[in-house]
Amino acid sequence: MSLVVTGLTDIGTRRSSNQDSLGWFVSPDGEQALAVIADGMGGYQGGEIASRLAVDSLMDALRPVLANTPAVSVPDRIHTAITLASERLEDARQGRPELARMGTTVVLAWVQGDRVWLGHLGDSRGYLVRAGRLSQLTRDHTVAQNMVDDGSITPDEAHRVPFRNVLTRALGACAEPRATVHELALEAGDRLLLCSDGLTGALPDTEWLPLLQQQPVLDDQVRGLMDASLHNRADDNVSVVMIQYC
Amino acid sequence: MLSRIFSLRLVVGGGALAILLASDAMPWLGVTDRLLLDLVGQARPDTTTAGALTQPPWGEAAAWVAVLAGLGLLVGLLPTLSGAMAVLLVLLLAAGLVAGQVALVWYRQTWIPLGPAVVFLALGFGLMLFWLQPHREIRRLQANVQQARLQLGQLQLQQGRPDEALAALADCPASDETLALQYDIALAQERRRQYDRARETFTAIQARRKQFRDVSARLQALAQLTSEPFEGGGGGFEATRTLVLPDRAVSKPTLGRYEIERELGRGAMGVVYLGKDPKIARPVAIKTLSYTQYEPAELKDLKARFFREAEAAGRLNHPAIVTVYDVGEEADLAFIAMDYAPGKPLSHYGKADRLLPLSVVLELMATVADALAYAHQQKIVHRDIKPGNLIYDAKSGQLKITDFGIAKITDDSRTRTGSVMGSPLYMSPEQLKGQKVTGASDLYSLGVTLYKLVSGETPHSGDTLANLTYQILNKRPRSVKTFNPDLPPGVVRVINKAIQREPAKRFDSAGAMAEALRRAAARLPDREEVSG
Repeated sequence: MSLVVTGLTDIGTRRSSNQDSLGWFVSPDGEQALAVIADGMGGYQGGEIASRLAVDSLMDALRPVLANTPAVSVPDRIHTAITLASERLEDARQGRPELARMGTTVVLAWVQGDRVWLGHLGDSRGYLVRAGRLSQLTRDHTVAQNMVDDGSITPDEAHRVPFRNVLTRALGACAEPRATVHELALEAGDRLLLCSDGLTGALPDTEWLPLLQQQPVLDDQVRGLMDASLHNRADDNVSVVMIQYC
Repeated sequence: MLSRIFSLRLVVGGGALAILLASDAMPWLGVTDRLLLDLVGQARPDTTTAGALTQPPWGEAAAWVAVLAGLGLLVGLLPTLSGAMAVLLVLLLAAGLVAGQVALVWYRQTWIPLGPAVVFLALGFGLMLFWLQPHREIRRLQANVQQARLQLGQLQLQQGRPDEALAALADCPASDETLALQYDIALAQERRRQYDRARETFTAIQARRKQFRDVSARLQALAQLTSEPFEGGGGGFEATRTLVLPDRAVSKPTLGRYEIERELGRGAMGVVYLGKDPKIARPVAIKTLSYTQYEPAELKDLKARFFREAEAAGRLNHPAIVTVYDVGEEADLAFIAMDYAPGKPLSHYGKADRLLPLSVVLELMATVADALAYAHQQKIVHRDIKPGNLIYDAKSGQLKITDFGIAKITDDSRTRTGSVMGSPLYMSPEQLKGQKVTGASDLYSLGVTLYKLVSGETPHSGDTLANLTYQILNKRPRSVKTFNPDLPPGVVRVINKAIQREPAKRFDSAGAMAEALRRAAARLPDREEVSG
């Protein structure tokens, strides 16, 4: 069994800066992989800096321990790395009032053999493609999602509520960011998909499967999603990372 | 440079040099001298006979001086003189030279060869005559062009285009007039908060004239300021950034024709200033929408909404609604100029220990309801009724609603951390769900406002936005009697009816709510006692 990872990010059609950052790593034996997407916020500069810092910080902290962490400790490792990234954001903010409101979402996948741990903060998502079905693994940390969950509104109404983009959790925006971490067993042929809300905003996830099935190669699948979202005039930055387990 | 090399003046100068250095090679230069000697010889043969005349050692030098004087007159003085004056002066100099020669021969038997100087003068003058006329013409045209450019610059400045005015002035030489205009341009740039450009303009003035008015003082004051970034570079942090209000050495900034006096406060949209309309010396409140926090693409929609809503609000004419006078745009922001309502927002009276007397609160709320009834008839919904948008002047008892329609212009959906966004405390459930906002939403918000002003609390509370939203959408409001047990039942009923979750269960109209409020006020046991 081995892991293949690929990813793309694009500024979209309406933004003047790309505040998404992404990073990934596959061990030489193809047994372990790490992938991160961060969607920054808090002004042009702040957003770029926050997401870049978060991705770099998480990669730096997790990459060295990827191979030798026992399964039971993985969630702790992820939480520690998130806290560390949060501290680095805090340090970067010192003496720079224009970065006062910077923060970022995070979604990361830690794959070790046939186990995957998916951690996230905010509305960047993780999906699983298995046996021709697409399922969302993460639940957005947004006010709108809360409203859907408590039955205040229907999912269809979510895009209209005034606070629809307000996150209930994010890196850098609250003192103790707590990521939600899921664990999952992978089966041969599974694909994991991480994305920023630019993709879901421009291309509803119901349209993804046909696009993914058109292309046999993982690179082309990512490219296909990206092109389709840009074709729909994505107004936000779009980022996608896919991990194939085969 | 080329025109200098190939000018007639240089030819004349060259001629002078040739005469000085090589007059011996040009015997024809002595023609006047020979003529003169003949004439004098006929009159006084004794003086001109051979050996009678001496040539002094300074004779040569005198001849040089004469040629140089002629050169100076031709090249330096002539262009500035009128034609007649020029002829007169040249004749005088020539006559003087000849007379001098004759006098020296006559009385001192001394000979100085001034002939070449006289010939040079005559020939040079002839040449210069050809040059002078076109030269005068050109000078006149130049002056004309400069005058026109100056006037153009003044006009452009008057029309509020200082940069173009500056370009018009670019080639004009430094005169009092051009410097004064340049100075005015710099002041205009200051008022537009283009401090970097103003600094450049002042520096340019200083380069042309060391001390011009108070330029150096202004430059010093400007050194403390930097221009607002017009494009990019800024973060969302600018949402609430203020115009730099400079010290007295720098001109007061203006927005449109309004002079900014000071900052009044900051809203979700941008900073609010106290300004003055200089035409009628009327104070105005100016709300600004700073562009720097938005992406260029979304700015277009935002501006369109801003101006549309401001225009709608401008149609409202009611004693309890702040009048919108004007909207306008600068490079980095849009603004609305409106009536400046003195007093404090009612949020000042929303704390348990600072509540207004109940009768006053009920009367004020009835006033707001009346104004809402008027606005709703015009199909205009406020969308953000809350104590902070109701300005109350305790002295006159006047109340004015501010921010009609424009309060919620900046889409809350932009903000992702929820930190700077308005609280949903006064928002109706349907508004929170993103459904169509109607007059009934304003009544809900007015109900919550009344609740706040009689109790210091709000019907729902939550430590986070998510929690608060949940409470408003799903939980029964806390009874106002918990916080103010003495509240008359009539007032409690008005509040409870206004803050019904279902819009249809609230008052039928703002007018009906105003009536209910007045009825409740009339039923207060003893107005004097309550308000005391």
